[in-house]
Amino acid sequence: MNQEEKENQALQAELEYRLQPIELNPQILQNVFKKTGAKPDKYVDFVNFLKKLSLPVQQFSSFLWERRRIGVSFATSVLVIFVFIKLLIPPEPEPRERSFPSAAQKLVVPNPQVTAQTLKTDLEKFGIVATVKKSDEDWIVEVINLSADNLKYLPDLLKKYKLKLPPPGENGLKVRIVAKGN
Amino acid sequence: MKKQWDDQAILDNIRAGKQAGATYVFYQYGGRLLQFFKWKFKLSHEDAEEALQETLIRFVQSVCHDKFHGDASIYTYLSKIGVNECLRILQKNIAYTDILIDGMAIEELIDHSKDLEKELHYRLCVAKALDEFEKAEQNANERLTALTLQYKGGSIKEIAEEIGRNEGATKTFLSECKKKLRVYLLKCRDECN
Repeated sequence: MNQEEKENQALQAELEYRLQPIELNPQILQNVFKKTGAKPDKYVDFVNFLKKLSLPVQQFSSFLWERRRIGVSFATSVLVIFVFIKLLIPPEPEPRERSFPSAAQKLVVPNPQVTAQTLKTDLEKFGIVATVKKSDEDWIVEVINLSADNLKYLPDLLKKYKLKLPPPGENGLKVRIVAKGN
Repeated sequence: MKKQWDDQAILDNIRAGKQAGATYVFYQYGGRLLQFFKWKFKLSHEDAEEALQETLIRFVQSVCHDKFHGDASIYTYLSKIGVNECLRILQKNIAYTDILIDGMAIEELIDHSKDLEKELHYRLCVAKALDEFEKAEQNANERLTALTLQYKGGSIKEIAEEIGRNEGATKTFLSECKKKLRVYLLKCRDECN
């Protein structure tokens, strides 16, 4: 059969087919969809529409996620640098806390200057350094730092002068000695 | 409004995982493929349906997996897959081994698969060409009816009676129809060659 005869045959077959088309089994198409996973157009369009809607949310989440990673890296770097610096540089000696008694205790005596000097001397016997200074007519005896060792002996000494121990949390002592009759 | 399908629209639809493109291919070419499978490969109706189903599955999968880039027409691809599927069924089915197809045993057919592909390609291309002819030409239905009657062996007198013209006018009309149709069919010949 030559080319022209084959072409005529194809044309004849098509013309006959148009007169009497073959009824197709729709199950074939369903099997094709089942096998290939194709979904109805409306379903695919709806899914794509939902994807489009969720796109800004996804982008924002992704944006946050990216920043979060940068933030974590930055915080880790800072922490590592801080630890290195701490290890390399020896710590500075902590300044000794100066703590002053919130309020001076009052001691009324006939001769404040003498009592002030006596108190200072008594304190020094226990190794407690005290300063004495005059303030107007009064004399002030002040101890800036009371160590735990000092506190052992202090109650008896203060009792002698009818003075109280400094309140908890204070490590200083201040006594204002006032002349009797002022 | 009815969607106008061209090859690109069909491929895009299938690639998007939708059904409409494949449905169009099924109804546009399925009947012709089935007819060809039964006639050319002497397949039973069930086997021809199986061949059609597998042809469509492989076609859709090829499109989805980007194996088919659209550099040839859809029916070129359908022809290639279709012929291979028919040969596969013939080889699988022992009952067909005694049948001669166009004077050839089934084993020999494999060597001539290219010719079969070409024949099927032309067949499907003619279907498309006639669609275009119907859309573009005036009195297309009358022209195709006249040609059909002639191909079925009708005499000029019978055709003239059918289309309501005298015999002389019918002869001229038929000649004119073939001339007009040839323009559309030339494209298919070029494609196949």
